[in-house]
Amino acid sequence: MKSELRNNKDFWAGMMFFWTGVGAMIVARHYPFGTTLNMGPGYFPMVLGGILIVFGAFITFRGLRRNEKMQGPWSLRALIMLPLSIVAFGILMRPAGFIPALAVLVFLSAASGREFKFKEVLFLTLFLCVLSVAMFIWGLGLPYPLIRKF
Amino acid sequence: MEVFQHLVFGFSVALSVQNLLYCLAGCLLGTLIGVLPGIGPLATIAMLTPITFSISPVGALIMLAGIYYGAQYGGSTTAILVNLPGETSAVVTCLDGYQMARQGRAGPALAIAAIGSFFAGTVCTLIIALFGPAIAELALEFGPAEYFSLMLMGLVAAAVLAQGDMVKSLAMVVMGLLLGTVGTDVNSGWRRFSFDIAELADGIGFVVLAVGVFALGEIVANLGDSKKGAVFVAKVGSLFPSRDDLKRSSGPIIRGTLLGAFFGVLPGTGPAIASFSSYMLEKRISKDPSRFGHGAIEGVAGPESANNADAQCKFIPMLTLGIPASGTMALMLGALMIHGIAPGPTVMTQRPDLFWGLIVSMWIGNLMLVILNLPLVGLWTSLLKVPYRMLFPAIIVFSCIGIYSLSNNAFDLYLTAFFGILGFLWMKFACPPAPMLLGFVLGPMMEENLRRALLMSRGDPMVFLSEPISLGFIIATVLIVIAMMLPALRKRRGDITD
Amino acid sequence: MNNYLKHIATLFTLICGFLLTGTSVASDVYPAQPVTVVVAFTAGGTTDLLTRMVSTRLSEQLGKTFVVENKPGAGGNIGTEFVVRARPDGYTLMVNSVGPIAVNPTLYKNLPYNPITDLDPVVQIADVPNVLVVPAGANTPNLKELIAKGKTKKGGLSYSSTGVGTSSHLSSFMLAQAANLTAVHIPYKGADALNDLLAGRIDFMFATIPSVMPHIQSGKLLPIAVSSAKRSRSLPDVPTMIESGYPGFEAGSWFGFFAPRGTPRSIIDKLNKAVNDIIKEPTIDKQMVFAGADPVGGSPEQFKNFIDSEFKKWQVVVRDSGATAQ
Repeated sequence: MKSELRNNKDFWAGMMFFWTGVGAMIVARHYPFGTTLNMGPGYFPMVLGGILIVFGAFITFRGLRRNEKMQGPWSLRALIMLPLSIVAFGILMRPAGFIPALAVLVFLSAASGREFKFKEVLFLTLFLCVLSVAMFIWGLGLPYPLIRKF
Repeated sequence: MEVFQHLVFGFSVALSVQNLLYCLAGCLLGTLIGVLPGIGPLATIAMLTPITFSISPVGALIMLAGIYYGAQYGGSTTAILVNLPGETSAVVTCLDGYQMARQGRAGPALAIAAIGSFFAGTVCTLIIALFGPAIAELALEFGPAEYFSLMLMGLVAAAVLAQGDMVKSLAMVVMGLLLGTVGTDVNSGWRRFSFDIAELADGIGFVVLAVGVFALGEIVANLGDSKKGAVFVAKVGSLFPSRDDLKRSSGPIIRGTLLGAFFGVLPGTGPAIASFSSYMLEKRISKDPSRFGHGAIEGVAGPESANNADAQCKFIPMLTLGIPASGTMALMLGALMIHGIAPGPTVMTQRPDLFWGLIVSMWIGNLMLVILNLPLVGLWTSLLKVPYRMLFPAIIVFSCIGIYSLSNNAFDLYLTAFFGILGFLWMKFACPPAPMLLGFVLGPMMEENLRRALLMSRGDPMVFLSEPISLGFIIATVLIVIAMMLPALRKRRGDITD
Repeated sequence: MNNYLKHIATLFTLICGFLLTGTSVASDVYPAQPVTVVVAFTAGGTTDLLTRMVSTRLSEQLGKTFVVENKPGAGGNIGTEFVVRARPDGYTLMVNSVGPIAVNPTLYKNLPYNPITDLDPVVQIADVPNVLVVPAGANTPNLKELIAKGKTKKGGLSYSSTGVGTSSHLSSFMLAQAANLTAVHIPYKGADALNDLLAGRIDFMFATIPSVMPHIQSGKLLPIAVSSAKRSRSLPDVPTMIESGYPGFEAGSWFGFFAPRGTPRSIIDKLNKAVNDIIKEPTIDKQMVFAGADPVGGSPEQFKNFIDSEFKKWQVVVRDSGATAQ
């Protein structure tokens, strides 16, 4: 039963909706609610949260009944590395500058794939850096320093 | 006819070598930035405005306008090729355009997108020339009550058209509505769901959401698929649309153009509504709606025409009434002011060279873009042959730079990464993202207009029924709901499974 | 293999090139490098465009590029906070306006910085008065008529604004307070406020002159008063609120240059002089006036005193109006 739950897509979908709704209502309960004819900022979020909870419960139970599996393979590596590479780029832009941030981005994102050939990635990094600088910094005039001293 | 004279005059202005060059420059630049996500016409026009100080106002406006609608053409290119919406309005094109690319039909998709956009551009140029000011006056009749009823109708129609798992689609719409509430509430000034993070005070950016969910989620999913191996698309078929494609597209193109023109003229609608509506309409009247979402060319032809028509017609309120329909328009308005021109009803009489020159140049720009883009189809499709392991980092790089440039803020990137993960999970849970996006776009506007209408009427709910236009939309909404329930009453809907 | 070496060589050259340009040159001459001018609003607004104009001239005058960087969001707070935390070396400046500087400290409960003390004012560029406009068809061609209508109309008057807590909102509130009127505030996001006003669904609005100039010129909106102490150069025929019988009513927008606290005085003075010269130039002056801004200039001390008085004034208004941004 446990392992079946892990792959049960409706169960997870339903749980996601349910808890999102709960979370929304918890956060929004402090916003002034108002009346239907004079709605406050809290009206819509609370109502929507409530609807989501209902939907979530329904979908969860339906999932438990039907037990449909999730399709397709997962790559945990991609799921972690790819967003990580984007976050790294964001973090590095200010302190390190455009080019180092880009280089890290290319490397980390390339590393999230199944195939990783170092020389190829190096070349790709070079190519993308030069191309980006040409297009964005020189071409469009975006005001980002290329390399910063730490 | 007087209009004919005006158009001839316009041609004389637009066809000067200088203005032609400005038009070309604008179109090229626009296409380029349209292809890149995040960097939109707004950022580019802002950066280029100082350059325009040194050239004539007519030339400046022609170039800025070229950038603006050029971006529409470019945005659809990446949407089709790699599920990356370069522009807000290109998101809908991702739905079927990308599927067509997966099937090796990127060529026809790109071609039809360009052709449809050109048709829309031509028709809208005529509409603006003939009816511009009159339409603008009519658009003024749309107040918050009318906008609300219109959007309510749109939302209900979307729910009705939810295909496949209806319950999950509806839940995703609500999810989108909820995500749309993040940010500062216009009517009260309260910041909702911002958790004291300053960057969330203005809500979640549409581009951030769309790029994260569509492009990033797609890449994560692709990387997990060991079968995909080296190349992204197994085989690229013919570059040209087949006769069948053309036949199927003609209707959607015409309908999309009209729909886009309608929304374009209303200043209060955003950029995505036109293409969403066209998609929904085509799906509704199609003989086989199940094809949508799996590479139906109508899903590209209609929305592409709609969003080009929308972009062009948004010039009407700006030029004739001086009301900017979007941030980009506001920028152009500002640029005009700096040049000493005040757009508005007087512009047509005081600066006819500006008005008619611009209108004709818009058509010329569309022509240039179609001529530019059709041959490029071959180039773009050959890009698809690049091994995926090299292609996807490039997509990521351009997405990141583009998104960062939106507000020069790294937070947008963190948010994109978050939505990438979410988008991937949604794919796994079989929760369709398109309804969510629709809710996200329509929700805040609906709420804003609903509360505003009630404020203006001092709490009287009858305002939605007493105004004729609003009443019309409400009636249409009710009819749609009834039409949906009739088949359900006659036979049980057995297709609620995936 | 040869190809490979070529790539390495290119990379090496490029890196050397960039490192050289990126090195900061210790120099007594300011500016020795490009300067970033942060604007806390999205590209396209009048502030942004006029800033770009002035920055272009500054680049020409002082010899190094003054690059405008937009950092919008949270009513201007994001960009302002960024400059507050920047190094006070003169290479990060900001052009800011009344909202984030004088209003937001009162409006936002937990601002993690104080724009009054954490920023050094450099020079005020211009005043941007608010103009009280009414729809042409509303039969309220002057302030007296508007107020009269306000007293008789059922439900009172309605006014639009560019957002809760903006100077457009607060100015209208001040009017309603001073004239003892019931008035319903209908907030919008930025320029959307104009639609319903033009159509006559809204009774009046205090808007910045640039945003409504086209409509005033086309006759769709009637300007019945300006909120500045002196008449606006762009609308010389429109009486001020003070002239119209409301002494002490002064509520407009303005914008100017700021630097992080602690920026060297010599740099501030140099910038101050340069900007003062620029806004006296006839082309710049003409463009500003056409857009509805009145160039001001002056010394950093004058600007500081002005800001202090603005802060005190808006503090009272915000509290009275009950506006908050929670």
